[in-house]
Amino acid sequence: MSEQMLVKKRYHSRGITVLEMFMTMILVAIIFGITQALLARTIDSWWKVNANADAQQQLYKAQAFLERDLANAAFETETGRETFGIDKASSLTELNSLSGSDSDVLWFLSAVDPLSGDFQRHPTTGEPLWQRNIIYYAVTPHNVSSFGYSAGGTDVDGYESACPYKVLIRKEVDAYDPTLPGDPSTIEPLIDDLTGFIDRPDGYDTSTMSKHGGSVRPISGNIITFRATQDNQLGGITIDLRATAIDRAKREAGGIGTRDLASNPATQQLQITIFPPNRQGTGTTTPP
Amino acid sequence: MAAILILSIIAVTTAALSSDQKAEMRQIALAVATSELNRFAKQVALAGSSARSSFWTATDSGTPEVYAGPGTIDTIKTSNTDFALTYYFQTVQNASGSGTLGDGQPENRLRKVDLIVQWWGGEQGKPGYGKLSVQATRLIRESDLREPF
Repeated sequence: MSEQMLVKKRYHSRGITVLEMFMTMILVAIIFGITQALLARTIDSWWKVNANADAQQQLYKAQAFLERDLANAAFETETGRETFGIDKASSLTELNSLSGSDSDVLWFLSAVDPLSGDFQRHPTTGEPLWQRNIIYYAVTPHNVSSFGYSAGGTDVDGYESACPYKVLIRKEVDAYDPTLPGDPSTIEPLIDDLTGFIDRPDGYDTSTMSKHGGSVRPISGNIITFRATQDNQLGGITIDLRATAIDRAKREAGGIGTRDLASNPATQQLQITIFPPNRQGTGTTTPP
Repeated sequence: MAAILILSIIAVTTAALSSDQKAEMRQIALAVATSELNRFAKQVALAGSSARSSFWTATDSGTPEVYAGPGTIDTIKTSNTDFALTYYFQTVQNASGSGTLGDGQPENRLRKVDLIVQWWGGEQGKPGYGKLSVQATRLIRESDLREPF
């Protein structure tokens, strides 16, 4: 082997210097740093998007139920002929378990027979033959601690705005004497006093709730507030329903339990006006 | 090589999440548009209202016209987003192109209303920030007339 080749071999197998090692470490650290930051941001976005999608899902479920139910209702406000009621920031005990009212209560008459699913009409006048009262409200369930919530709640403008574990409840009740489909003498009157009709589920379990000859369904979870207002000019009911992206709110500064979530970016909002299409006509009805 | 692979996966995931977010906002905007068109249709059907007279007397040149008269709303804020609303209307013509549909009877026109809902998506100053929009359409009959409740 020539002298020149030996020198070349020694040159190529001499290892790395401290400076080269140091530079390599810095480069690797920079790459890892950037990767870690991007990964953290991606994970954060993933949580955010998933939680938002979940909250929206809850709102869409509620929208579908409300639109379907109110399509079988009427907007009548004449005294003694009312077909719906709204109890703003309800003061009912069951809706005031934390600070402020859990929600409004919206209730209205529906002409749909729950067994057949048919819209019932008066055999001679063709007017809707009311079959059931349908009640919507959002409520903090019993055992809310099972969701990991232990705070006392926050009252904002009379509404509880810190607990996002409220459940939107839909009740379909035969409120007074039994109503028979097709029989005008048993027409369902609008509930005049909600006492006894509003109660709370145990978590999402509604089996112990009062049914009054009808049914109870938890429609949506993650609800922070449910509000309803009537538009007397156009004959519509405006719904303001908000669901919180809980996993997102938990990861933000302040967490859950001590701050107003009703107007927080982690809360999704559904604001729609629904126009009940039916009229009761001018005939007499049984007042409540 | 591994770093390039990880960064590529992150980039793809971030892009997918960003598109998910846009899709969510589109759903909200569509709900806003549908609800608002329902409200607007009720408003212009209200007998004796300024919204009704203004809408049905607005001049139609044959192409979609912006309408910003009584009964319209400029912005709606929901889900912490400001949605800007623009209404366009056009009277529906006969298929033959001569005259408007239903012009054989008085107060029997049909107008197509397009509602454009626009909002700023993404975070200001960050990639993906921009103006987004959805459109909803509804036909409104002049013969729809309701007495006030």
